[in-house]
Amino acid sequence: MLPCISSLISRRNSDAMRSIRFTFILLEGLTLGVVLLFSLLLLVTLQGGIKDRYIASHVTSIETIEALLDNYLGDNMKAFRSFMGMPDKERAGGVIPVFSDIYYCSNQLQIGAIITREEGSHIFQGYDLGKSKVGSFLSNMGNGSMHHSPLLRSPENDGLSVYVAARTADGYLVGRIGMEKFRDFLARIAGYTNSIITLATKDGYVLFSTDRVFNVNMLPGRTGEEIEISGMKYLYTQKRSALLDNDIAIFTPLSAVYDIVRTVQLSIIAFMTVIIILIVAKIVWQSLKIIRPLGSLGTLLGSWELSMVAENVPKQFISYEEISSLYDIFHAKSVQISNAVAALRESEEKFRTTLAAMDDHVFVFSEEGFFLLCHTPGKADDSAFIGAEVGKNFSDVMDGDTADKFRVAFDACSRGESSEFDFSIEKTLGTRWYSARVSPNRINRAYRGSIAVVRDITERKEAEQRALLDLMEKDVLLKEIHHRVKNNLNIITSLLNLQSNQIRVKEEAIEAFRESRNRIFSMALVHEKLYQTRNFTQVNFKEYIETMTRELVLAYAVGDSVSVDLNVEEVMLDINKAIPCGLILNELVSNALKHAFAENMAGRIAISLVTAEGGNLELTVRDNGKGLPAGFEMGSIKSLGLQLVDLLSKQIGGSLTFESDRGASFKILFPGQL
Amino acid sequence: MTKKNVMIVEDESIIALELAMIVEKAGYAVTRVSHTAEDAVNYAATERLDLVIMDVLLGKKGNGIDAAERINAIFSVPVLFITGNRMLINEKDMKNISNYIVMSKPPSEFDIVKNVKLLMGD
Repeated sequence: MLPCISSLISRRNSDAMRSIRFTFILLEGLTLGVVLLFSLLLLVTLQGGIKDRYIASHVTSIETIEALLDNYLGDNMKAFRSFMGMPDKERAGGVIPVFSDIYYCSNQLQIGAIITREEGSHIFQGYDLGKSKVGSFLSNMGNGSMHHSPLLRSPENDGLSVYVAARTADGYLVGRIGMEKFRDFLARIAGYTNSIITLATKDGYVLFSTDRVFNVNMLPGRTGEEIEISGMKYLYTQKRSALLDNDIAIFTPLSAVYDIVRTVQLSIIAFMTVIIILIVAKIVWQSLKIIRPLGSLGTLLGSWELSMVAENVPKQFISYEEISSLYDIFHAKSVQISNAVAALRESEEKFRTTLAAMDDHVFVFSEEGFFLLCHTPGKADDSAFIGAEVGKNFSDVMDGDTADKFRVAFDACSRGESSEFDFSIEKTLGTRWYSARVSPNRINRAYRGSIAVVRDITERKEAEQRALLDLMEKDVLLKEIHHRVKNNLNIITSLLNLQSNQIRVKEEAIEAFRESRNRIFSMALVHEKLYQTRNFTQVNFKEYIETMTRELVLAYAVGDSVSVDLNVEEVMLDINKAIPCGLILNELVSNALKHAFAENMAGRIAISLVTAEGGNLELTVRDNGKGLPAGFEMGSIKSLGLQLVDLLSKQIGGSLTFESDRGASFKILFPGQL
Repeated sequence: MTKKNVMIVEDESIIALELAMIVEKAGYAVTRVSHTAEDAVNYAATERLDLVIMDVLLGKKGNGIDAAERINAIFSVPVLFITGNRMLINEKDMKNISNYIVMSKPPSEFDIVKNVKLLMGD
């Protein structure tokens, strides 16, 4: 029982352990996942955001560049106006260094006096600007005092320049701002933004870039995009500038964009690494601090033996409140279970001992009639329940009639009623009788099958039958005796009646009474001897003869003068024989006592009863008296006594002989059994 | 005047002797004393009888009613039954016997003579 519980506990416990660890990892994983997802989202959002911001900044940058250029040009034009007012222009040429060339030009577009001339410039006095773009700028300038041109290809050095011109009395004063100056200006702006600024024609031909290494001839068509040039990626924005009548483009290398993104990425990765380390550390810590103590509690519970564990919480668990309380609860419960098991065992032991002491069969049946418990004492081979064992059905074990009776009893049990009945089984050693009591088996008030107590009542039943038989036998015997009594009374009345016919004088009356008394006594003595036998049908005739002769000797008061010799075998006579034989004996002995002996003579009477041939009995009464009268014949006797001897001898199927030789002798040979 | 013939069927000799004495004293001839039913039927088949005095229980020697039935099957004769137990007499058994009287044991001499005369119409 205990190992079973501990294995159950250990199995459940390991499930729980796995579950807790799994839950921990799941929750921590979930946290990690959320952090990762958040970081990724942040990264992507940041990346996209930074790009968008860059592109938006490009547009403002271009506006700013235009405005700066406008300011730049405006400032230079102011300087140019101041320059125009100066009297000594030759010397003042160095005042406005931005202008590479400053010269006069006639209305015919012939270069006049040259105030400042850039080293290596192609112009000279008398140079015709008529066919150049500069010429068309000047001729189209209008009447305003001062104008600047868009970026033009200058005839001076095949470079690109912006021209500032003012009307004079006979022509124009022209100042050229060379490309190099623009480039320096724009390069400064580009330097602020880590970008490359490019100027191009409206057709897209690149005029120059702030980065000399940046080798692009044509602007890409699309604007606000990520493009790749010579294996490098750039964010690219382009705008048409009305000021310069050209396109301005800004290229920002993605590396510059991603420098920021990477910084952010690195921060995030660092953050995440810290988080992951924290979570792993947490898992390890939890394993060490929560799961491991639970695990060792589980191991302890797995090999739990009440005798092996301490009542107080072990040191390793004492710092854990919940585990300590689990330990306490388990300890308390295991003590309870152990006590309950001990009580159960004792109760079961008592039950077994009680059951073993019972002579009755005890069966517990399930609701379907299967044996749940069998107690079958005594000789198994002579029982009605051969083969009864747990797991079998009653109908497999009992014969049809018995099974039917049990089925009825089970039905009654299902209605909550007990029943009692007897049944018998034919066995080789005879009929065996049983008395059964079948009661419902209630567990917690619910019907759970039946309990049958079956008693072997064969011996009682046999005793009852024997008693019944005895009773019937006695009944028959009583009737028989009743009949016999009536018959005997009839015989007595007959004897008295017969005797009364012979009385003529007073002495004969006295004698007749004595004779009658002896005859009735001889009959009564048979009954007395009958009472002393078990079945009231047989008489020990040896005892009868002894008593009868003693009585007669007393009755005739001849005890001093007459002696009686007996030679009698142990003979049992049926009552039908005993009455006539008793009467015969009475008549013959009385006859001898009355008539055989003379006075003062020592008389001897010899009585013998011996077994003769063929199962016959021989009764002889002999005396040593006067002998029979001469001419004695049975047919002609007047004596009632001897007449009775003759008749009764015939009645018992016997033959009577007599002789007279030194006394009288009567011999009756009759069948011992009828 | 010849005496009427009577047969006595009685297994007890003493009772038979007394009955014979009573019947003869009343003026009839006891022509046979039988101890067994078989002997009674055999005798009745050959000799003329005016009355049978029949003991019902003849011990192992037969049943008096049965014997009287067999005798009356041969020729009709009145029967005086003497029984220790009146319960043994069942009227349904008396198919052949037209004239009979049942007496209980022990019978008185007066009643015997009265019934004998009654049965023989004297």
